[in-house]
Amino acid sequence: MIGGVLAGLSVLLGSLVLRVALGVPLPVELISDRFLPFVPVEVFVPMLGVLGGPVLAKELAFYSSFLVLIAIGVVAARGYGRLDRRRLPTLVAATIGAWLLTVAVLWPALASNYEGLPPDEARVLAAGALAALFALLAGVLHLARRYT
Amino acid sequence: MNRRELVVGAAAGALALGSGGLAEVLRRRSTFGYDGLEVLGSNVRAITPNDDFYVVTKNLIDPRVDAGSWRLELSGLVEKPRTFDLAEVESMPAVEQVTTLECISNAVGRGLISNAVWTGVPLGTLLLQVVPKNSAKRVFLHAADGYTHSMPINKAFEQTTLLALAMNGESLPDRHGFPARLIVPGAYGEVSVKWIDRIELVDDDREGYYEKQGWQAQRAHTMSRIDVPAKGSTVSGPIEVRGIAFAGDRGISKVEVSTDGGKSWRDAEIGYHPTRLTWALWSFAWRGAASGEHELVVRATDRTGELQSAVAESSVPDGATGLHRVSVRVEA
Repeated sequence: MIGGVLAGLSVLLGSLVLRVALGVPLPVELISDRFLPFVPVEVFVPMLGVLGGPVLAKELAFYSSFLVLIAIGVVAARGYGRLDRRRLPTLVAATIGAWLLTVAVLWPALASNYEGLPPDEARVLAAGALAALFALLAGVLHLARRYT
Repeated sequence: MNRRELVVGAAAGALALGSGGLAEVLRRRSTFGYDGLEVLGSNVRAITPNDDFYVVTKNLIDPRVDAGSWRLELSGLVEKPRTFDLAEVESMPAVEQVTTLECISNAVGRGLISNAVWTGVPLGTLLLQVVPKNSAKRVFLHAADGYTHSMPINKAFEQTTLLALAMNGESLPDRHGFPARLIVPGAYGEVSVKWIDRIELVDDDREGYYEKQGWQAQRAHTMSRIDVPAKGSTVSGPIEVRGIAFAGDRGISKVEVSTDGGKSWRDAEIGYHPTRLTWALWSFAWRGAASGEHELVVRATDRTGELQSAVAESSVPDGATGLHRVSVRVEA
């Protein structure tokens, strides 16, 4: 449990550093930019109403995404904790697989950069940033299991 | 608590503190404080100051684009693809153009509408430099924040469609698209893409961010609004009724006011209305008003002669229609 919280907090801090320093979109920004355009306007506008309007909806998304990252760390830690053998190779494979899947799913949104980096460079940076965040998650999980 | 638990707890605390600090930095930069800013009521001026200009954004935190690294790529179905930096765009002959923008989600009587003097380069000037192929039918616009939108190529070549670099004589504020945004008169504001960084000429009907959702923003409806007196107010003496009217890029030819809920109409006087691209500021001197409750209504006619629609429709999917009604009490 504590290992998962540490891993989630590490990813949260890493994503915030990348956003503030390099303009790399937060996970919540990538996900909303990727999927919100597919929400029909007849659903989108009432949905904002239910959430208290656009500003409250954005605040909710912003802050709740932090908890989601910590929850992902906890879930990943539980999964990792259930492995009895070949732990490290499985962790590495799962991390690479999760990164590839995330990059594939979010590909169109990866061209964004909030410091104005040109789209091709922004995509490379965002994909690299995701790789770093997944590696951070895995590394902290591994260390936490080993030392706690 | 053993030493290991102490270390883990300290690490978790440090991570949480660091995250909280950075989250606060982003919250201060966020759009939470200005998304949905409206311009309406007794303070409406002909030109909206930059800080007051309405804002609607998809973003949690708007981009802060570095002018030095900004590039504008023109690509797709063109003979000579090219990338411009800011100095190259700034060196092109610029025009000043007063243009009103309105958000497609602006409801009847609301204030997601503003007017500014934009300085920029006609988009057609840039497009001619890359020589569009005959097969190009539309332009697909990309922005730093991942926002996209499209428009027909003939709209892009209209002389009034600008790549704007300045707003009311100052560089574009970050929240209005620094260093460059489009100004597309006649369409709702979502087409005037902020933080633009790529213009792609295409021969298909690919859709942008809000287009995929189903918004249809290419033609702003004619609208009008009463700013003074305020809804529910009590008025007396010589009563001045005033407000705005707007018709995309078609201009306003007439504004009419009713003081009896729409049974009869009288012409208002149009004051500020320098070009067909701007809102009109109108006023109406209401004389001889009897004491009691009255419902004021306004309607506008555009310069093509088309009367504003009285049918009340929400802004979904192509902008709101209907007449603005304001109830007031007159005291002798």
